Amino acid sequence: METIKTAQITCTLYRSFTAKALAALKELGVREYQIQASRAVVLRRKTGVLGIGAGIGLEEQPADKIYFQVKVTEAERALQGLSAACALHVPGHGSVFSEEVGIVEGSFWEVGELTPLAGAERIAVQENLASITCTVQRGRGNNLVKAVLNLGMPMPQVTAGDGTGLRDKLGLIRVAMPTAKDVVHAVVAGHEATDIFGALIDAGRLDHFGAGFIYCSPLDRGVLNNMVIRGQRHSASIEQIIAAVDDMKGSAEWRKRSLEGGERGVRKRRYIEGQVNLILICNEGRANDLVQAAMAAGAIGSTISRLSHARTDGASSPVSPAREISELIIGVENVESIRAALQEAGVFNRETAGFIALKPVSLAFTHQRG
Amino acid sequence: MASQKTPAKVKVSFNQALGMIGPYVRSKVLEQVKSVSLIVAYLVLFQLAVLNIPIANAVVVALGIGVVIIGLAFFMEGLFLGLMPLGETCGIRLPQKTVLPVILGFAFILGLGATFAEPAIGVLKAAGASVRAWDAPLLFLLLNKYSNYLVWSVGIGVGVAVLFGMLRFLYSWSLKPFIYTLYAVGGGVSIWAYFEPNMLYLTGLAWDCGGVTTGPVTVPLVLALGIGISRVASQGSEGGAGGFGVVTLASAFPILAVMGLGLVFLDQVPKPMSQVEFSSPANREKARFLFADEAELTNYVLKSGSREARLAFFGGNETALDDHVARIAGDEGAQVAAFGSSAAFERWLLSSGSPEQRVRVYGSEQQVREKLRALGIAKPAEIDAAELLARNTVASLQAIVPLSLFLLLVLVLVLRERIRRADEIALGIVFSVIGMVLFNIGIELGLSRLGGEIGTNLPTSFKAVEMSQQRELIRNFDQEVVIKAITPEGEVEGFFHRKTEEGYESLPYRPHNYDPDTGQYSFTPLRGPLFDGFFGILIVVFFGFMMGYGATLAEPALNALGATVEELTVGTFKKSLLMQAVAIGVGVGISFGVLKIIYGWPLIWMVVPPYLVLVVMTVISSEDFVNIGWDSAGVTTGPVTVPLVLAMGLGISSQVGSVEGFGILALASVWPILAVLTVGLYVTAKRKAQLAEAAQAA
Repeated sequence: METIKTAQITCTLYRSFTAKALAALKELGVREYQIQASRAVVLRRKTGVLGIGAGIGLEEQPADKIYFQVKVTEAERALQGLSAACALHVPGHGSVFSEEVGIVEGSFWEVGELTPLAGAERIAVQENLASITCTVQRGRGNNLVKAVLNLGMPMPQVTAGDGTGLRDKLGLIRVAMPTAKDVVHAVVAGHEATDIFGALIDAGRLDHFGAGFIYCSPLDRGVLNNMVIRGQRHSASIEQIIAAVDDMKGSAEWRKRSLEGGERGVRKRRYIEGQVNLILICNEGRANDLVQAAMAAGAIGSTISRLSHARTDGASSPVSPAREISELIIGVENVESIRAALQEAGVFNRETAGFIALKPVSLAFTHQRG
Repeated sequence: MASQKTPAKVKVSFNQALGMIGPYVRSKVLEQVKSVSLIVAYLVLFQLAVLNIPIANAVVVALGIGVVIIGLAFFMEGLFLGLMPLGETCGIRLPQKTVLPVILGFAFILGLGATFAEPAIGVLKAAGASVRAWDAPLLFLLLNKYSNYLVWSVGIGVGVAVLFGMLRFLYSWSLKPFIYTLYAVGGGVSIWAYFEPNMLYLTGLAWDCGGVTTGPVTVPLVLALGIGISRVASQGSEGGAGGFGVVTLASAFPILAVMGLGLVFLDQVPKPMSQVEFSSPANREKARFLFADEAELTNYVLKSGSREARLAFFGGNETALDDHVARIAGDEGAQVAAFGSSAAFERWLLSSGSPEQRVRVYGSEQQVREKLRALGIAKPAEIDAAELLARNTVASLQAIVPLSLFLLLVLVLVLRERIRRADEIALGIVFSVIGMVLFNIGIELGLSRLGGEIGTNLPTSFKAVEMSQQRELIRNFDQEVVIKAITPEGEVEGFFHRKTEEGYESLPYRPHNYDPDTGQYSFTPLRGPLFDGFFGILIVVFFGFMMGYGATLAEPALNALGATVEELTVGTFKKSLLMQAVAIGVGVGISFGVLKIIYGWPLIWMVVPPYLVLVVMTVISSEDFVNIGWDSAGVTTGPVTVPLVLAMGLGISSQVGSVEGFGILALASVWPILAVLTVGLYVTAKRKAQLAEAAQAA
C-alpha cells in the first residue's frame, strides 16, 4: 500500500485565538485545514468568600483543534508561524505540535509550499513528545482531565464523539446503549509517557469492562502550553518558571520524576502493542458506513467526531465543510485488509471524499478478558 | 456504486436485553422526574400549606403527573433518536444537493407545517373564549370567525422566519440586525396600538402568538435543520456552535403577521363599547361582521349578553324578544345551534331568562319551580378515558407524523439519500408520538387541573373569593331562621345557623341568594383574603415566580435546546446553567405578568422597557450568546408552562374583572433573554479577564 509521508500539524488553542491562527494559516500558504470544537481545561485556584469555597477547581473554556498537513520539511515553518501568530509560548494560549503520518494514496487532500511569516521571532520548540488519547463515556472525561492536570500535564482538551463497536452489532436493542463519548487529549513529555499512561489507566479505572480505551502515539516536536493552574500567588507563575528552565535546558528532560504505578503498572497490565492509528476523515454522514466496513474487516470499533473543513483560498471542492473523523486503532497486520474494505465501501469516491492517514501507536489499553 | 460489508450481528438473550433496557429506562425516567418534581411539589405544597385548600381529585391529579413523566421520557428520547437526526441530515444534504430556491421553499413549508401541527395555537383560542365581542371586537373576530386566518398568518410568519433563518446560515448574516429591525417594528406598532382601542387588545394576543408558536416539535426540528445547514455553510471560521437563531425569528415574525392581520380588518370591526350599545340596531352592520351570519350574532347576544343587551338587540321590543326565545324553545335544532345542546338552553333559560320567558316556555309558574329545583348544582364532568385517549392521539399524530413524513419524502425523493439507521429513526418517531400522547393526557389530567384549581383559589390570597366548587343548596329554606346583627359601622346584616355533622355553624345571609320561587337558598362559601393588603399580592407574585421557574425546568423544548447547546459547545456551556438562567427569567416575567393583570397595567409599559434594555445588551453581547439567549426565550412557553400560566391568568383576571388575560406569556419570553445575556456578558468578561491575567503574567 502506497503512503505519502507528511507532517500533520495539530494546533489546540482557546477560541479567542482561533481567528489569529486561521489568519496565520492563510498567510503561511496552507490551503486547507480541519477544525474541531473542544473544551480546554485547567485548574483554577478559587479564593472563595471569607475562606468559604476556597480551593482548586476545574475551569473549562471553549477551544478549537486545528489540523492540517504539510510536507515533512515544512513542519518547523508551520510550527514557528502558528506559535508566533498566537504567542503560544505564553502559558494559557495553546499548543501546536507536529507528527509524522503516512497518507494513503487516493485520499482527498492538498498541500503546498509554505511561506514563512515575516518578522516572526523564533520560538523554542520541544522535542520527544507523546500524545495520549483516551475515550470514555460522556461525563467521565473530567475525571481523566483532573488526573492529567494533577500530574502536572498542561491543558488537556476534551472533544465529543459517538462510539461505534459492539453497539452496531446489536439489533434495535442498541438504542439502550449510550453512544456519547468524551475523548480526552493530552500531550506529555516522551520520557514520561509510559508512566502517565499507567497513571491515567488507574485514574479512569480503564481496566474495568466498558470503561474506555486509551492509546499513546509519539509526536515529533511542538510548542506546548504550560498552563496547569490559574490564579498565581507569586510574581512569577510556576508555568513561567518551567518555560524559562525548558528554554535554558533546551528540552523538558530535566522534569523527569518518579510516578506511582509506572514500572509496576507495566508489569501489572497487558498493554496492547503492534497497533497503528488509522485516521479516517470523510464527508459527514459517511463515517458510520465506513467504520462498519472496517469492523467487518477486523477493526474493533471507533469514536466518530464531527469537524469542519475549510479552504483558505475559497475554491470549491468535493470535500464538504461538514466532515467526520474517526480514529481506528488496528493491528498492523490488518491495515491492508481494512484499507481494501474501506476502498470497496467507497471511501475515495466524490460523495465521501475520504482521507486516510496512518500513524504509529506505541501503547494501547482497554479491558481485556483473561 | 460502493458495496458495503457489515460486521456480523451479535445475538442478545432476553435476560441480557432486560439487563440493558432496565438501566436505560430508569435513567430516562429519573431525568424527567427531576424536571417535573419541582413544579409539582411546589403547586401541591402551595395549595395545601399556603392556601389551605385540599386538592380535588387528588388521585386523578397524581396519576396525571405520573403519566406526564413517562410521556416526557418517551418524547425526549424520540426527539433525539428520530426527529433531530432527520432534521440534521436534511440540513446537511440540502445545500449540497439542491439549489437555493429549493432550500428556501423547503424551509418555508417546514415552518408553515410546523405551525399547523403545534397544538399551542389551539390553547390560545380556547383561552380567548372568555373574550366578549363588545369588549374587544377585533380580538374576538380573530379568535372566532377568522381564527383560521389567525393560524394561517402565524404559520406564514413562522414559514418566513425559517426561510430567513436558512438564508442567515447560508450567507453568514448576523442575527443582530434582524432583532433590531423586527422588534423595532413590532415595538413601534405596539406603541401605536396603545392609542387604538381595538389594536390595544390585540397586542397581547400578537405577542403571545410569538411566544407559543415554537413548541416541542418545531424547536428540535428547526434547530437540527439549522445545525445541519450551518455546518455545511460554515466558512470554517471556528469549530463552535452554529445553527441557533431560527427560533428567535420564528417568535418575532408571527407578532408582525398577527398585527398586520389586525390592521387588515381594523376598519371593518366596531370599536369597543358597552354591550347595550353593541347590541343596538345602530351598530348592527359592524357587529354582524364579527359573526358568520345574523343568526349567529343573535344567538351570541342571547347567550352572552345581559337582559338589557338582549332587549336592545330587539330594539326595546320585549314581545319580539320573548317570541324569539319561545321559537328556540320549540325547535331542538335551534337550541343546539344557539346553545350547543338542549340542556344548555334550559340552563340558560332558568338562570338568565326573564320570568315571563320561563312561564311562556314551561307553561306555568309551578312547572318553572319544578325545573329550578331540578337544576341544582352542576355535577363535575366525568373523565371519558376513551375520548381523552382518542383526542390526544389524533393531536399527537397530527403534530408529528406529517412533519416526519415530509422530511422523509424530501430526503428520499428530492435528496435521493438512503436513510441511515432507519430502524432507530422509526423507533424515535413512534416514541415521540407515544410520548406526546401520554404527555398531553397527563397535562390535562394532572398539571392543568392542578393549575386550574390553584388559578381559581389563588386570588384568595388578597381578596375574598367565592368558592364556587363548594356551592351548596339549602332546600325548604325558612326565612324565619334569619337573625339580624349590627356591624360596628351601624349596618344591619343577617345570618343564620346551620346544623352540620360537627355541630352548628353560622353563615351570612344574602337576600339575593334566596329564591322564593323554589324556596332554596344557594350558599357559596367565601374564602380570603388570607393575607393583609399588599402582602397578599406579594404572595401571588411570588407564586407566579416559582410556578414560572418550576414549569420552565420541565419544558421539553428547553431541555432539547439545552442538551444541544451543551453538545455543540462540548460542555463549556452547560445545559443546567442555561436552564437555570432561563427559568429565573421566566419566573421574573410571570411575576410582572401577574402584577399586570391585578393592577390592569397596559402591556406596552411592561414589554417595551425590557426590550429596550435587551437591544443594548444585544449590541454588546457576542453573537453566540445572542443566538442562544434569544432562542431560549422562544422555547420557554410550551405545553407545561402555557396551560399553567393561562389557568393562573384566567383565575386572577376573572376575580379582578380584567377584559383579557393575555400578555403574561409575552413577559415570560422577554425576561429569560435578559437572564441569558447577563450570564453571557459575565462569562465573556470573566474569560477576557483570565486571558488578560495570563498575558500580564507572561
